[in-house]
Amino acid sequence: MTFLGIAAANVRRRPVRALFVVISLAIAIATVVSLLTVSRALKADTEASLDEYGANIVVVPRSGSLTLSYGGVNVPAVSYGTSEFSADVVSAVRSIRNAENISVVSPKLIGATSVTVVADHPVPILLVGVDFQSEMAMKKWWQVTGEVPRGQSEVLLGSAVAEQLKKGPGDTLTMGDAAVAPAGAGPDPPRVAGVLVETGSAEDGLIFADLGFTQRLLGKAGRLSMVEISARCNTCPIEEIVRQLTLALPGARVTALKQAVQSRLDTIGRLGRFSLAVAAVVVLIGALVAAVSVSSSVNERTREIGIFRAVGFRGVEIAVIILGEVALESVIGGALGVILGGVAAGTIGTVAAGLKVSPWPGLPLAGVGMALALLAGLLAGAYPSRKAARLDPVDALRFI
Amino acid sequence: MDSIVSLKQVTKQYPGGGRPALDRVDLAIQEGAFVGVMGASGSGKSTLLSILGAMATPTSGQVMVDGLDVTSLGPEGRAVFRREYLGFVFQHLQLVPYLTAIENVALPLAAMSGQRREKLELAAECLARVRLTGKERNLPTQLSGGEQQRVAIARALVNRPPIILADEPTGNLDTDNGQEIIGLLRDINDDGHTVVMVTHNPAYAAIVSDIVTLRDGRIVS
Ligand SMILES: Nc1ncnc2c1ncn2[C@@H]1O[C@H](COP(=O)(O)OP(=O)(O)O)[C@@H](O)[C@H]1O
Ligand SMILES: [Mg+2]
Repeated sequence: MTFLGIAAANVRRRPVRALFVVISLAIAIATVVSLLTVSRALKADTEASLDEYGANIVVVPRSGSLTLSYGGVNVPAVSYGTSEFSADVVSAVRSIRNAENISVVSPKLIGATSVTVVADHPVPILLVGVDFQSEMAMKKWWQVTGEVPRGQSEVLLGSAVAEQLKKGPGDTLTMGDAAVAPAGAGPDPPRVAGVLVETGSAEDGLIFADLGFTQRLLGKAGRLSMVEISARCNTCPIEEIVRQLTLALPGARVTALKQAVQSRLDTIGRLGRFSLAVAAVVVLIGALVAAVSVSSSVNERTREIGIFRAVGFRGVEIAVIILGEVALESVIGGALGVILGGVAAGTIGTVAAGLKVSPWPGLPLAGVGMALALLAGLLAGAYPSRKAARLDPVDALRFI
Repeated sequence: MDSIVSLKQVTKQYPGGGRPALDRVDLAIQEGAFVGVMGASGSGKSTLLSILGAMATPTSGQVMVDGLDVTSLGPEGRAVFRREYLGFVFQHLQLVPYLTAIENVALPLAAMSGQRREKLELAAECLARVRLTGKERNLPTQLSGGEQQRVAIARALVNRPPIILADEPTGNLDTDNGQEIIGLLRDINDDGHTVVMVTHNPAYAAIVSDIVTLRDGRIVS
């Protein structure tokens, strides 16, 4: 016989008594595990979708002095032909140390040109050359009537421009100025592939064309006006990415769109804090229920504790028996909780949030669950075991 | 002969009680004696045994066991003293319900160093001594009253204590079973253990070597 052997014998031979502590802790841990698993999955999902939602870093040439508002961002007015940088910027952006945090890079060339609808009356227009694939990946909210341009000579019209020019999908544009792009040297007249549904921003007044097309039309081969970047900011602070970009691009000004970043972090942070708070409350309730149950069990076992005292067990040894028992029940409850919590998370995640959540919460969270169960159990056993340890043997054994 | 236990002017006053349960008791018990403590119900027999057994502390007076002043010990010191010097047999309900017979017997050894195997062998020997071989794995509910009492005696022996204290060990048993328990205690005493037994039954007066009679907390003979 050892003290822990005595504890184990009680759990083994009187399982119904042990069940109360086991169940209360299992429920608490299951709640914590499922809550944290689901919130983690939600967080990852939110981050994934938020990270692709628009740019959070803008890179522009340092020389730009005038600014224009573009997509809610103030960028230097590059339209007058002074401030561009080389397209090498894109590869420089891709090669910073935290490059894996950068999800979308969308280079742009912005320039003024004109569209002639009525002969001899060219309409001045701001043309934005983009890589449509990147641009569409970054601007998830864009809706296009017609199609997204694919070929070199297809363009996308802002809604206001389309109205002004009375052009739509399938129409051809007479674009450019012979002085900039001499006849024969310039690209073919572009075809309108689609019209951007009104966004309420400066985009409505722009024409988006293929980057290479725009560079040729404006006579600025290999030049860029700005680069918009969407970075995943959960694993690395945005400031750090900005710092690395600034070092990599000495000729450029790198600006983080703090507001966009901050609101993302806030949403994710609130989610995390909420589930932690709920988890803490649930564990506390579990510990309290377990404490009541351990306490009543100690009261019932007064006589038995008297026997332990009579045969010469010291107070600490009796506390070891009581706490050992609670610890054993906690480990069983914790393991049960981790399993139940995982299953619950899998079910809740799929049914309620439409997420794919694995029923195995992962070793760290399983470890945390077990540790929490043990902590709650020992907390619950602390007072009753102390009381048991101090029991007067004569009080415990009224009969001798 | 040396006295292994001596009480000097021991008084026990329970809180709230009127007259003391023990009143200035002087007592010396010789090593190897078989003492019978007799007296009417409420005369203080159990109180005397609990003080002898260092379960309770006297309000005043001194208890010496084997040269050790037990009254100077704190609760933990008294626990260690009990495990080394004493074996207890109570009237009833003294087995841990979820431990088997052999585990109950081995209970006092939990606090001692040694191999599990050795401890269980020792416990098995003690069970054999009370003629319970074959019932080692029985839980207390699977034993008769007399068998339970014999398990308790085996447990009292397992740590080889010099002194065994028994409080009405036959109180709950029929005559035959009672006789068997008294016979076992007699054997134990013959092996050299000092035995102090509280009993109501005047028939056992012939078996013991000394009789202490209490009346209203005082020794009258
Ligand atoms: N824990 C206690 N608290 C208060 N009074 C007690 C307590 N135990 C015993 N007594 C009183 O002390 C006296 C002696 O009791 P006890 O030693 O149990 O007598 P006996 O064993 O001879 O029947 C009785 O009057 C009893 O009521
Ligand atoms: Mg009594």
